[in-house]
Amino acid sequence: MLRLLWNSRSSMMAQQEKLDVISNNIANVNTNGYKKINANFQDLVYESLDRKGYPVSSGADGKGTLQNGTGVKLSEWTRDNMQGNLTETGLSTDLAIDGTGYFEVVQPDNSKAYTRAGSFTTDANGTIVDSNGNRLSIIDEQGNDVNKVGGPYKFDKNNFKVDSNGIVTIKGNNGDLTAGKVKVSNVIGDNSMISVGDNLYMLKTGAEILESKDYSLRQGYLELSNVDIATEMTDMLMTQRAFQLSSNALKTADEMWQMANNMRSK
Amino acid sequence: MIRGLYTAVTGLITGEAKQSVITNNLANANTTGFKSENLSIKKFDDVLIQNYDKIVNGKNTRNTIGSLSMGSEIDDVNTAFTQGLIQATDKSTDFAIEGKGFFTVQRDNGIDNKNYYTRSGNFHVDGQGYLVTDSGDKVLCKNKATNKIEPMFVGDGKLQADNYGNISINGKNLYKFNTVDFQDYKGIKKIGDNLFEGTNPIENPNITVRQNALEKSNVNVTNEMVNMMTVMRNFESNQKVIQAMDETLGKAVNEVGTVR
Repeated sequence: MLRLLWNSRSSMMAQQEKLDVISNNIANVNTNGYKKINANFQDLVYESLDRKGYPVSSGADGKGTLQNGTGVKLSEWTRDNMQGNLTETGLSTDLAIDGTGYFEVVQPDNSKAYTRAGSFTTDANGTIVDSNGNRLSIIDEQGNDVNKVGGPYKFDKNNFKVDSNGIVTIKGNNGDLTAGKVKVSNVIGDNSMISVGDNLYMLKTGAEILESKDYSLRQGYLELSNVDIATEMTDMLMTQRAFQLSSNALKTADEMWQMANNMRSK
Repeated sequence: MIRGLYTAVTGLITGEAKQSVITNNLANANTTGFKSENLSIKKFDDVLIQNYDKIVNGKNTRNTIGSLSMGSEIDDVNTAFTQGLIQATDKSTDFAIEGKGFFTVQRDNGIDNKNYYTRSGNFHVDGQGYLVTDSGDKVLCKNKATNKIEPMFVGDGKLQADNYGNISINGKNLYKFNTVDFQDYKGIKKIGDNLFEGTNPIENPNITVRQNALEKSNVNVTNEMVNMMTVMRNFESNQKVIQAMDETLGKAVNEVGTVR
């Protein structure tokens, strides 16, 4: 009888976690550069029905299949790295990646983080920063980061241009200068980044960063969230119904147990 | 009378086992590539009932009453390998098999690699660049250049597949899914994590594989719900039978032969 309760319990827990995933996706339907989380169900281990006290057909030829499952779990969460829609903003500090890869930003403690949300701005020091003050990595031909405090160039909202390859040109006194290239990094694997909040990702240990080859940059555009609200809503309905189903099964198991307990009372 | 008590108890136990299979089906109503199960119950082999109550010429002689089954037992758990619904997704690492067949995956248990089979095609690329299942088992493919069966290396490439499981990475046709089938589905055993264990897989390259799609569970929720109700009421009937027997036994013990 315990098995019946546990089966339903595992299912209710898994459905609950799936609802968490869905609500997180729905909450981020308007977050720039958000990548939706995918989570699928997996069945749990199987146990034999051929156990003590169970009347089992002794002549069963397929004794190996005489087993029953023990419920369900939610698998590891993975990111769906599908491209989000691009929207035109007209702001020169907004950048969007069309293709694979992430912008690299340098946090105040000099650690590196990665993001798809390209709503940058310029600060008082003349650097291009995101909304939390993390600096966008722009690398010149020598491999030096030029977008830093005390760097060779001072960026403001109107004095730079970014082309589709990520080359940044800045207006100088004697015409345009090539300042450097916006660093677009990529990582192998769908699950090699940890989301750390504020639209930022950090590398998991062991994951290696490499240069993205398949992308083009758009200045004046932003990448929207890739969450499809209709899919999420249908998933939510299905999950909710499955939860209900399992709670019904739980109730039935409870009633059966009650019957067993009441066998002697009347 | 006591014999009947035990007969009813076998009904209770098999009912519980059946319910356990049903709740597992219901729990996996949303599991990709899950195949529903059904527990079949059969009656115990008949036994011959006889007594020596018949008196012929002043002697008790054998009297055959007839045959009787003394309850129900678990016969088999059958997995229904019917096609689940195919749902379109937007993910290039989602695959669904239409018709018969299984994907082969390799699980590293720390000592050696063992092959398992699955119909759940919700794969992703791991940190090493290999195509893996949700539990990290590598998906096996045939390398077109060397004809060897090996894990599929995607790296940061773009994955594209045709309907026969031929896979191009960055436009180069490199792999083909190592799809297999089995002669005897009875020998296939579920082991959890959406995987099956089986012996003597037959390589079948003509299995339809759809990209950007997932096979849903083939559990019929309405059926399971009705089965659940049936089993529950059946359980109740058995319980009532036991109660009735108990009452009769009570009468026999307490009332028959009382001196008033």
